[in-house]
Parts: sequence; C-alpha cells; structure tokens
Amino acid sequence: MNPTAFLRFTARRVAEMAVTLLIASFAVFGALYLAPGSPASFLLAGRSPSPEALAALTARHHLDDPFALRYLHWLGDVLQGDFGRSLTYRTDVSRLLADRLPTTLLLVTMALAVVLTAGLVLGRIAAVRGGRTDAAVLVATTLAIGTPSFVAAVLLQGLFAVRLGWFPSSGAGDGLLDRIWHLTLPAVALALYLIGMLARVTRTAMLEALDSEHVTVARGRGVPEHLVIRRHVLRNALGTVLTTGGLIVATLLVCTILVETAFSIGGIGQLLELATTTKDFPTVQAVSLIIVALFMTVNLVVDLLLPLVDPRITLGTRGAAA
Amino acid sequence: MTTPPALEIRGLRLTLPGAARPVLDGVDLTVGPGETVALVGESGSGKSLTSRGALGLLPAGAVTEGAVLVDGEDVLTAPPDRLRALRTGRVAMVFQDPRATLNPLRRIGDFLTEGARAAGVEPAAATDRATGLLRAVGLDASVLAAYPGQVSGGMLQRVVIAAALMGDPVLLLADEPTTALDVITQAEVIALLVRLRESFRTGLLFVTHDLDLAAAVSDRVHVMYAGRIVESGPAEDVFARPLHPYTTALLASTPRLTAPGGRLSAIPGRPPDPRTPLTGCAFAARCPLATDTCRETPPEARRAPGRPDHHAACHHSARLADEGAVLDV
Repeated sequence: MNPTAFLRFTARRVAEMAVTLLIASFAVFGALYLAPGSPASFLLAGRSPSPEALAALTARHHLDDPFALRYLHWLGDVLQGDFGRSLTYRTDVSRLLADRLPTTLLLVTMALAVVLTAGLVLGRIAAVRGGRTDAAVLVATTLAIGTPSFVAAVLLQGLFAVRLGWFPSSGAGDGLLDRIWHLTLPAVALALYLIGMLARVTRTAMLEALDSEHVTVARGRGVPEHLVIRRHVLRNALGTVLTTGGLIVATLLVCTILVETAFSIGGIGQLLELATTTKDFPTVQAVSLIIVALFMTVNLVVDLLLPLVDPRITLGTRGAAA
Repeated sequence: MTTPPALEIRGLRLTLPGAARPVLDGVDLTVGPGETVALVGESGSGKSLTSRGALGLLPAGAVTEGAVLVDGEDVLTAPPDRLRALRTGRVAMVFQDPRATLNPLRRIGDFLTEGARAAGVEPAAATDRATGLLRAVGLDASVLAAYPGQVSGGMLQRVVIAAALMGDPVLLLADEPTTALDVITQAEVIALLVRLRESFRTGLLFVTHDLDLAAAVSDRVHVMYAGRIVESGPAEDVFARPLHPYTTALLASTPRLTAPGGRLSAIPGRPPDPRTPLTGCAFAARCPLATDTCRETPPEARRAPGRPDHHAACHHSARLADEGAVLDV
C-alpha cells in the first residue's frame, strides 16, 4: 500500500470523524435539552429554594442563555477537555472519565479477545467438520444469540460466583491480575451473544470460500488439507470477519452498560446508567460522546486494515470483500 | 523394465449418489510417455470428470470401479499422503479458468511455489525454479510479487502452466485450458503447451470440445459421449474416417468457412439425462442410423478392420467405414 495514499485517506477519514462528532455532540446536547422539565428543577430535586439561590444556580449553568449559545459554550469547554461538573458526583466529569474509562476498555478488550477466539474456532470447526459438529455448533450459537447479555450476566453470577465461588460476583478489583480475575465473568457475559454471531458469520464465509475453484485446485496440487483450510478458506473468510468486527465492538460498547450495572463494575457503562437515571446532564453528554468517538475509531481501524486482508480493496474505494 | 504409461485408465466407472446410471461408464484411456491425447465431447459428457479423476479429485460421494494409474500408481486406492506426493510431483493440471484457479488474495509467487514447498522443497529453491519456469512460459520474475487481479487472463494461464510444471510431471492434464481466453491468447497458450510438452517430454491429456484444436495438437483422440468412450484412435483416422455417427455429427457441427450451404448442422436432441437409466447405445435417440438393436444392446468397442489402433463402439461402424464420412445428419 502506498504511504501517501494511506496518509491522505487517514487524514480525510479523521476530518470526516470530526464532522460526525460535531453533529453527534449537537444531537447529544439537544436531546437532553428536549427532555421534559427544566434542568434547574432536576438540580434542586424537589427542594423549594430561595429566589437568590435559584438565580445563582441559573447563572452558574447559563440556563437563561438561548439554546444555541449554551451549546456553543458547552462545545467550547468540551474542546478544551472540560466536560463540566457532574451534578451527582460533584466532581469534574473528566475526572470521572479518567477513573472509569480504563476499566471499561479492559472489559471490552477482554470480551473482544474471547469473542474472536471462540467465534473463529467454533465457526471454523462447524464449517470444516460439518455433520453433527456443525449441528451442535448451530444449537449452541442459537442459544448464545438468544440470551441477552444481562440474562447471561445473572446466570454466570449465579453459577460461577455464588454457587461455585470461582470468581467474584461484583466489583472491578485492583491491580491488573485482580482486575482480569474480576472482569472474567463480565467479559464472558458480554461475549456470549457475539460469539454466536461471529461463529455463524465465520462458518458462512468459510463455506462460501470452501466452494471456490481455487480450493479444489489447491487440493489437486497436493497442498495438505490444513494449509488449504488456513491459506485458502480461513484467509478468504477474514475480510467478512473483519467487517463484522466493527459491528462487534459497537455491540460490546452498548452491552457494557448492562453488564457493568449487573456486576457493579465502575466503568463508563455503569456511569452512563447512573447518570441517566439521576439526570446528570454533563456526565451523560460526555459518556455518549466518548462512546460515539470509540465506535468511529474502531470503524476507521477496520477500514484501514481491510486492504491488508484483501489486496483487491484499495483505500478510498468501497469495494466489497469476497 | 519398460516405462509405464503416463496415464492408464482401465474400465473406470463412476457413480454419483442420486444418478440412475454411472456418469462414467467403463472409460478406457491411455496416455503414453510424452504422448498427447485429446478427449473430446459435448458439455456434460464426462470429459472433465475423467481428467479430474486422473488427479484423484472426485466429487463428494462418488463411488468408483476400475483403475486410474498415473505413472504406474493407482490414484483411486492411494493413501492420502501418497496421493499428495503424486499431485505435487508426477501429475499436474491446467484448469479451465485461470481467474478461478488462483486464490485472488495471495501473491502469484505463493501460488507457484505452494506445491513444491508442501513437498518439502526449500522456499529459495522453489522460488528459483518458479522464476526459471516463468521465463520458459514467457514471463519475468516481476509477476511473482503481483496479485492475480493485477495481470491479464492470458498471463495468468501462463502462470498456471508454469505452476503445473513445477514438480516436473510425467502427466499434464489440460482441462479446456483456453476456453476462458480470447482467440489470440488461446493460440499463444496452445503454442506454449505444445512447445513445453516437447521440451519437458510430458504426457498430455488435452480435454476440449474444440475438434480442430484436438486435431492440431494431439497424437490420438478419444471421443466421449454420456460417460462412455465412443471412438478412439489416431487423430488423423478419427477425424478423416470417423467410425461413430456421433463423431461424424460433431465434425459436421464444427463451424467452417467452406461448409456447403453455409449452414451449421446441429445434432438434434440433447444428451441423455443422467437421472434416467440407459439401455442400449447412449446416442441411439439422436442417431440417424439407429435401429432396434441400438436401442436394446449397448455396443462394445470394436477394432476397425485394417486400422489396429482405431476403435469405435457402434453397431453400424461397418456401414460408416464403407460409405466413408458421408452421412446426412
């Protein structure tokens, strides 16, 4: 791949991302503005304040300004890394994010590793062995796909944390190893549905690749079967798998809200859930923007990797992978 | 000790699940060392199946009888590792569509050396051999790093031919190697195959539906119909004095500038459906000479009088021999 084309493509995509984030920020800000009730009444939470206190509050949060002005004011702060102060936690939102984002990223990374390993292995076995193995994988993946992540969370907690006591039932732990131990059950709960999905996508893509003439040719040329599968079948299914990767990460980011809540893990998912129920506007806005930004970054990475997997795709063309 | 034939197929019968009769029914075919044999017939007559059978590439669920000996070794009974060794060495195939033959995601160099490396050749030595063979087919080493999508179909077919010669095979199977190419490229690829066959002394089984091509390149010809060899013999005999009405009809339906009246004669009807059993001669329903005998008794291959190497499976060969090639179809 030629480096200037790579840089030009990346620069263009980053600029597109900036525009998309701007639009997303407007939507995120506007949606909360449209929510019923005035922000002041949420802040006061049913107390009846003195007129002076109300005025001070209104002034502090610029509640008297027109919508556009308030949006620009907020946007200016965000661009400087200031997401405002959390109304619930009484600290800077950026502090909250810095504390919680690493936990969520670790959880999502672990879940992604589980999804990729189990999904690819199951998909490969089903496609290559066929017959009963295929049927068994089909049943297992149907179960996995049919189990919502919060149900999986409760089931896993009940079995492995409460009954067997192998894993802690809640919390995120301290130190890397302890964290990984704490996050194992949540990661599996998060991964289950996606394992099912990826296994099916891999299976279908591999069966399609198995049907190609070049696979028969490779066999006819005396290439050992395991190399035929790796180089001509799995390799050719990878483009489809990578494209699904973007969707997988998006789903992980959304489901982490449910799973972090179920396991009482202090990540940004749980933060978003708490902030939404307590109408903590600045926090909801910040977390939503972060999730949008993460999602777009993953899609950019997938688009940059695709030409490496499939030489027929060049950057900037939206060719379909085989 | 005499050299065994490059390919010897004896009474190959191949049955697929769900078919009422064998898709290959008693195929006998020999390719001597350095000899070129053409296998001609319509689509679906079993030509490709026969040539793939010589590689041991059979459709799923196929049941076989008979023997397919490549360089004296039976590919139908060979254990998997023997078969793999055979495929990386003594037998290789040039397939119909070069675009489908190569994995579009892997470099041409990987394709060329894949078999050799699987057979345990050092990567550097394999690449050296590949470079030499690319030169022999008129390409240079720069295509090694290219992807299949970056070169033309004609170049790709040259790559496939070079790849087929990697293991220095005694038998080369060419399954309609020019059908997917344009006319100029076809001629180049055929000329290349003929030249290489001579310099490498490789036996060649040439599968085609193009009779002129078969006549031009081959020493002997086998004509196939509905899974049976209906006529075989030296190319000049078969084409000049055919002994089977099917061969006659095929020759009459080949486009020629000098054809009287300028009309092509198509063979009426269509080949028999593999789901229906056959009694008698497979060609009887389309044959102008067919009699009740033809519909009841399958003809045996018989030697033509005075032509020891020319065989035809037809009850009326004698009539054709007497009347020459004159037959109104």
